[in-house]
Parts: sequence; structure tokens; C-alpha cells
Amino acid sequence: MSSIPSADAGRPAGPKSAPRRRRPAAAPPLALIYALLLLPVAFLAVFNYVPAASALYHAFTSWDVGEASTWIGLGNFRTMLADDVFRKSLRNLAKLGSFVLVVNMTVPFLVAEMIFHLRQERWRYLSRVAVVMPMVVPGVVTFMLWRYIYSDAGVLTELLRALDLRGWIHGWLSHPKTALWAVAFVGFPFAHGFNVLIYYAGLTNIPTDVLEAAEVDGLGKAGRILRIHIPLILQQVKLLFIVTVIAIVNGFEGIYILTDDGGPGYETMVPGLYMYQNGFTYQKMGYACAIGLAMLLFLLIFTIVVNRLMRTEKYHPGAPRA
Amino acid sequence: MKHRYSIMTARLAAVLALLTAAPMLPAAGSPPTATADRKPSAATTIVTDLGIYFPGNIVAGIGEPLKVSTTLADEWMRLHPGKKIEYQQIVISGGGEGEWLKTQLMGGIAPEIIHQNAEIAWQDTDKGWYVPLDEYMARPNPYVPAGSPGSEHWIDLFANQDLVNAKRAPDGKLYCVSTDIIETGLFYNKTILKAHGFDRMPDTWAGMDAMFRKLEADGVTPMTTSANGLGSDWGQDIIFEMLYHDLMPQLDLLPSSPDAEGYLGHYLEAREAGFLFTKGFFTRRDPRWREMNRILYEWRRHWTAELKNTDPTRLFLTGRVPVLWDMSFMIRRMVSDPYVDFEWGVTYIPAITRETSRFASGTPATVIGGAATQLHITNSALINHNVEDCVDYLMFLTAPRNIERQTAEALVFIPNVKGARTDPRLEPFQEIFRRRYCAMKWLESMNGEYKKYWRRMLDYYLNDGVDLDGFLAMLDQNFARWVKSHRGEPGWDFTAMEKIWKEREAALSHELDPVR
Repeated sequence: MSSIPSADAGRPAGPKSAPRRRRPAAAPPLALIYALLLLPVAFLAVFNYVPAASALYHAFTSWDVGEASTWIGLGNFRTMLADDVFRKSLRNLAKLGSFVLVVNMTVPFLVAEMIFHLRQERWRYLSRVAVVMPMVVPGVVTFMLWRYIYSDAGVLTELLRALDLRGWIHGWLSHPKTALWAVAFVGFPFAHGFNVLIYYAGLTNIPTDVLEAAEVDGLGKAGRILRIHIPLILQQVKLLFIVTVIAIVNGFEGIYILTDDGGPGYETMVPGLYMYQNGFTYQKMGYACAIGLAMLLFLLIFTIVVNRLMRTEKYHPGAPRA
Repeated sequence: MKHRYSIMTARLAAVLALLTAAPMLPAAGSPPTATADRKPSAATTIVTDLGIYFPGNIVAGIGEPLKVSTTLADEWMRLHPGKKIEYQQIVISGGGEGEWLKTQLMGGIAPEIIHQNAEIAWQDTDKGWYVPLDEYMARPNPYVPAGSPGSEHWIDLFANQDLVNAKRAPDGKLYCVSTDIIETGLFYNKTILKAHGFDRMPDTWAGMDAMFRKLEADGVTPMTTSANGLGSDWGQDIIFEMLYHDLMPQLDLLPSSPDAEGYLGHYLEAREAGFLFTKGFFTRRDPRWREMNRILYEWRRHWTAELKNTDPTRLFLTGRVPVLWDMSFMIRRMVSDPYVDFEWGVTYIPAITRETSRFASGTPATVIGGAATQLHITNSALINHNVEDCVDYLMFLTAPRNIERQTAEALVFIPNVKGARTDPRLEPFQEIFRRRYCAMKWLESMNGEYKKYWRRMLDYYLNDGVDLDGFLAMLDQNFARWVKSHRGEPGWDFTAMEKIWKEREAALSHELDPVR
């Protein structure tokens, strides 16, 4: 294979030898560019970094909304450890998170595989569009729809009534035994457009020669999925794993819309909602900040651990394995 | 080219500098301090939220958008050239926490006039977020003809004085104007009830229970109710009075404020309830307390399954449920909805008799609604130096002909102003309101997290999350924490109550189960 000489050919190697890029004569002056950047940077600082820094500080204070804060060191964290509601919220998060994680990771993969295996590009395209379409519906609307589905005048109740299964009619979000699972079931059949697209993009990136080689070697469809597809889309799996866990830990808007307050009792309470309620309902901003900080630390550690454990490499045909 | 960019840079830098500096510049005529300035400003804008009367509001989701508030604002502005009324609806989110409002009040940028339940505002009066109105209530209302009530002292204009005074904060000050009255009622579908053999709603709790059982046997869900609170904690309050009625003269240890005697003469103050709790009342040892929660639980069995997350109006209007416990709001819906094709009526919760409980007094159920629109002047008016204008506007709104126009258009509340007529269609609620007021609004007596916890646990109990004993244990714990949280507060000194208790101890202790 012939090589094309690069523009840097013949120049001494090393960082110092990198050519200094010339600014085009017609380019606007740097001062203007920096001036244009000033406002977004100021907004970023004021609305993102300052509140975050303030929350970090206030996590170590007792702070009632509208009043001055008092430094209490690790007091909020000690309270958190002894707080039954916080512990209950962690248990709920673990249950809800496990379910959501499993379905959000597996169902979209299966859907992506099905689309990938369609023979005609036209059908593949239409399937992708069909999967992506629901993404244009705002999340709040989806939750409101599910709220209606579960209500006494909703589709589920009407269906049961029509089938003369009155005994099955239930306060799905009101009953302590079903509330959390009713929340978990929102989004059924879980073929999330975003996750499907990410998986599908990974699958289409697998070189055709690898797929052909597998076929020639006599690997069946299941074997190809398990031994070729999954190992080669691990980067996508990792990305979705991290993004999904972050969404699970931080998210509470769905529960807020569906059950108002994490009820009945604390059956659908999760740490995010508990943080929100402490801040705005009980006005315990310091404690709310501490919960927020704990969540942030958990997610940071989780992301680092996942990145360490799930080391992925790009597939380079012919390249020696590390 | 370079020159062009230099000019652009200079202009941009100037704009950026202005943008950056603008928030730091004090607004003309409005120093950024929260000190009260009693002098009216020459030209000012009042930003207001009028609760249900917000212009354009489609009350109860039916009928034309409201217009009268805009007309009234125009009339006021014509009387005060150079002054302006603007409307801004405040956001009270899901659980009524008022997050948005709290942040606005904290920043001093809430509308100058807002509707807010007084009990919620009380939690923040010590922060200076609301303007006390006592001084202004003592002034003449210039929009009332001379010699009429209110022409000398604004407060005299209000029809139900006790109701107004009942909204005094624990610090004794009045922070709101109670312009109208709301009540609850049982709306019932006569057509369905007749089809199942009932000509009218029963007069007693036992009769209602029998009727509900018959409906259930016929495959009909008997009752539904609106939203959080009404079905549960207000239900608790109404049952409470009917079971404790005979005991109330003994339990009511402190005299009520003379201002509100007619309305709250028998009402238990929060500290009274707290003291009585320490003596064993309203605990697991109190058989009435247990009975109250048992009856509420039994009643709940007849309601729709998904209480919190449902649309009771739809269920009632479509004939799925024959009885709806709702507010006077529903009158507007019932008279305006062209699809209501059944006969209906309004009554009130029936009396609990000995058939249902050995503690029943047999007295009629008390009412629980009370003040509807509660207009507060916020700290924004102090900051913007337009408290006087805000007061003037409120005086204008409460003039009899003006509140009458507002209430008639909205058709949901009874005017609480002397000389203002009530729309005849709201008459059933005027009848209901003549009943005695409840003896205690339990959750409204508690603050913040204790109230939230109680409501949460009540919801849990009513939906089978915990049994009666477990629920009562939770209430005991919550009550104890609540009482403890008030320890050391001046109003919560139990010495005076302890003296009266000693005199009544023998009789009252007899009402409790022995300590186990």
C-alpha cells in the first residue's frame, strides 16, 4: 500500500515543531471573540457553577429558606445515615433502578437487533422512524398519560371493566403494594428511541467482513449476537449503562407527576424527590444540599468504577490485541 | 476591515458592559431595601394574582374566560390616572408547597397581591414576606357609600367577621383579606340513586353506609371525592367533631379570641391539642381517636380505588359514580355543562348516630370550608413602595358591587361582603355554611413536615399500607415530635392549661383507656 506524504513530511518531530496556525486576515479580532464568549461564560458561571458551589458549601450547614445558614459540619450527613425515610428511598431506588436498568438496557438492544436484521433498507428506515417518533413527546406528557391510564376513569380500568374483571380494578398508584411497580411500568414496552438508536449505530459500525466471516464460520444468529455483536458494541453498552444510571439516580419528575409526593406512605420515595421535598417543602435547604452532594458523589464514584471495569477498545481489523 | 471590527468590538463591549452593569443599577424610584414606605408613589404598577378571579381563567374548566377582573382593573386605573394593574398568576405546584412562590418572595419579586391560604402564609410571616393589614383595616374604605358598613372601618365591611378574624396569624396580626366563602357538599345523581331504590340521600351515617353497600352489591362504586385532603384529612376533621362534640366544652381549655368567638368558640387551638396530647387525648389511649380513624377507613372502602390520581368530576358527570364530595366549584360545572342529562342535588355529610358509634353525639356534621380567596400583600409592595396603592385596590375590589360582580361571574364562591348578593344557584352552599364550624382542622394546625407526614400516613392507612394500630402509633410519634418542636415557645407555655386540667382531670381522664 502506497503512502501519501503528509504536509509535515521532512519537518523535525516534536510538539515544538508544530506549525503556528496563521489567523486568516478576514478573521474577527480575538477581543471580539472573547467579548462574545463573555456573556455565555458569565451565564454559565451564574446559573451553573455558583449554585453548584453554593450547594457544596450549604451541604455542611443548617439552612432554612429565607434565613441565614449555620455551619454544622457533617451534621447533615449524620442525620442522613439515621434517616429512615432516606434509607427507604434508597431501597426504593434500588428496586426501581434494577428494573428500569434491566429493561432499558435489554429491550432497546433486542429492538435494535430486530431492525438490524431486517433485509430491506426501507423497512429498517421505517422502523427507526417508528422507534424515534415517541421521542418528540415531552416526558411530562408521557407521565401525564400514564397517570390517566392508571386512573379510575383510565384505559386500564375501562379495559378491566369491559372484560368484566371488576375484581382486578385497583388503585394502581394508591396501593402500597403496586405503586412502585406502577411507576416502574411507565414507558412500556420500553423500546426507548434513544437507546435503540445508540445500539443500532453500534451494530451498523461492525465491519461487514467480520459479520461475513462469522457467517462463513457457521455461527447462527444467536451465536453472532452473543459472540460478535455484544463484544463489539460494548462501548455503546457502557455509555447507555452510565447514562441510564445517572438518569435513574437523579430523576424524580416522573414520580412527582405520578404520585405527587412519593406516596402512598414512602412507597415511591426516591432520593431525588426526598432532596426536593426537604429543600422546598420542609425548607431544609442544608439537608437537601447534603442529599444532593451524596448523590453526586455516588454518581462520580460509579462512573469511575464503570469506566475502570468496562475497558473497551475500538475494533481494528488486523491490529494486534493488547 | 480591521477598522470595521474595531468599531464593532467597541460597540459590543459597550453593550456587554451595559448588560453586565444593568442588574447592579438601582431601579429608578425603587431603592432595593425592604423598609416600608407609607407614602404612595406618583406612578406605579401593581402586579397581582387574584386567585380564582384571575382574568381569562376558565373556572372549573367550563364556560367563558373571566372578564370582570379586567373590567374592575380598568375602572380602578381610570380612577387613578398614571397607575397600572398587571396580572401575574402565581404557581402553586402539585402538593401546594409553593416552591415558586417561596423563591419569588425570598427574592422580593412576587406579585404585590397574591392569593394564598393564610395558614400557609403564617409559616413565613416572621420573614417579613407579608404585610400586616390591621392598620389599613381600621381605615375607611372610600369605595363604600358613607354610612354603610366599611365606610368608617374597612373591616366592618366583611359579612362574616369571625371568619375574617379566624385568619389572624398566630402573632395576632391579620395578613389577608377574606373576600368570599367556599364550602363543600355532597353532590348526588338522583337518577342513579332512584334506579337503585333511593329517593333521597340518607340523613344519617348509618343510612349512608347502608345505601353505599346496596350500590356496591349492584355493581356501582358509590362515591368519589376530589384531590388530596378533602376525602381524607377533612373527612377526619368532620368525623372528629361528631365524636367529640359532647366532650368539647371540657376539652376546650382556652377561651377563643373574642373577635372570632361566634365562629371558633369551640375550636381547639394547636397548643390546646398539643397539651391534651400530653394528657393522653388524641393518642392510642383515646377510644374516640381510634373510632374516628376507623370510621374514616370504613367510609374510604366505598370510594373509588385510585383516590389521589383520578378525575372525580369526570366520574360523576359520566354517571360512573353517583355521589361526589366536592367544593362549591362544582355548581358552576353542573349548571354550565350541556351534557349533564341527569337530575342532581346537593346535600351535606350526614350525622353520625349511635348506630355507627357509641361516641356519636348525633349532632349535624360541621362545615369545614370557610374563607376562599385570601388576598395578601407581599414584601414586593414594601420594596416597590406601593403598599398604599395595593390597599386601595383591595378596598376597591371588596366594595359590595365589585365583589358581587366577581362572584356572580365565577359562580363558585359566596361573597363575604355586606351588601353583596349571592347568586341564587349557590344557595345550597349558603345553607350548608350556616352550620357550626368544625372543632379542629388537624392538618392545618400543624406546620411543615408534621402536617405532611400526617397526610402521608393517613393516605397510607386509607390505602391499606398499615393497619389502624400501626397508623395510630405513627400519629403518636408525629404528634410527640410536633409538640416537642414547640417547646419553649411563648404561646406554648402549658401552665394555664395545666391549672384548668387539674379541675377537669377526674372527668376527662375517665374518657381515656388505662395506660398499658
